[in-house]
Amino acid sequence: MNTASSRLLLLLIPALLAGCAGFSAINTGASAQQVETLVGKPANVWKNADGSEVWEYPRGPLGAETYMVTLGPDRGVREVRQVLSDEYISKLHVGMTRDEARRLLGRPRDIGFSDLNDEEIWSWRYREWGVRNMELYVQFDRRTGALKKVTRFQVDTGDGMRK
Amino acid sequence: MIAALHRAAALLAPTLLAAACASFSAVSPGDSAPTVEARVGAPGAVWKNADGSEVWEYPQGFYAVQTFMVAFGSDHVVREVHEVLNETYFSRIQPGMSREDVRRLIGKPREIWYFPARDEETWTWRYRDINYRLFNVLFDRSGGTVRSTLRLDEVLLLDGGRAKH
Repeated sequence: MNTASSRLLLLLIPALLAGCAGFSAINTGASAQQVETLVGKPANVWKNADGSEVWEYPRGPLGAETYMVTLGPDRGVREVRQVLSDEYISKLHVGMTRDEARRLLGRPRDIGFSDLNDEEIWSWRYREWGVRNMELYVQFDRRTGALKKVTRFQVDTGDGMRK
Repeated sequence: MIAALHRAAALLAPTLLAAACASFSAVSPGDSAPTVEARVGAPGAVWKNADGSEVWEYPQGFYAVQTFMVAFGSDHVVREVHEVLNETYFSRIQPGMSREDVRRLIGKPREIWYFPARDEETWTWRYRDINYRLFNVLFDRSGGTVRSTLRLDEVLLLDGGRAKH
């Protein structure tokens, strides 16, 4: 490796680490201001009746994580959750609204449609156990807006031939 | 009652599936068009070639994992019968192919989804490798040509995917 590219790598590594370390650097009790300094502005803010808020940070389409930062009515951080995991995905259920799914898992990576079944399909990519690339499809009835079906698949990035 | 019906259906399903597969092994090269119709019914689609030969397409349904193609010569006699939902045929799908090229190669998809944000249309077939899988062909929606293909392994959950929360 030549010196120029190793210098570039040395410059890149901290930049990449900063991207990952951002959310783990948010401590319970941190202020809203500190959260913004560490990870920037959220893609969306959910306001609860009790004055608390949930800030949504999807890292897709390149990343496979979505973080939810909960702030108490005092504007201090209560908790930070990475929601694209089995723990949260398993909470999806038939009959749920789009809004409930959005609050649970954050913004989908993509939204598709099926004219045949009059469905709207939300999809997310995530990593399972830190090793498997997964695809999640959540199908909603377009007319009623109710969740009909949840399916998960492991993505085979090869040519289909098993090693 | 419902549970009993499900059990009965589960017991019947393999018999029905076996019957459906067996009927295609009853079609052989040399059979006439009326013989084929008598044994396996009318095809889902017919593809006519310029030389007078034809291919009859038999998708087996939404949950099925097989699609049969019966190729006839211009003499209206069966030349060959092949099951197309496998890698032999999937591997022939190349970027730039048209929707019709794909359809003629592996038959009607079980589902078509479209994703406006990336101008993509996804055709899906269910098949069986070791596990049940989905084979997806991703088209450029406006251009109508293949972008790429994707294979997905179905994840089986013990509760059937219905979480109790």
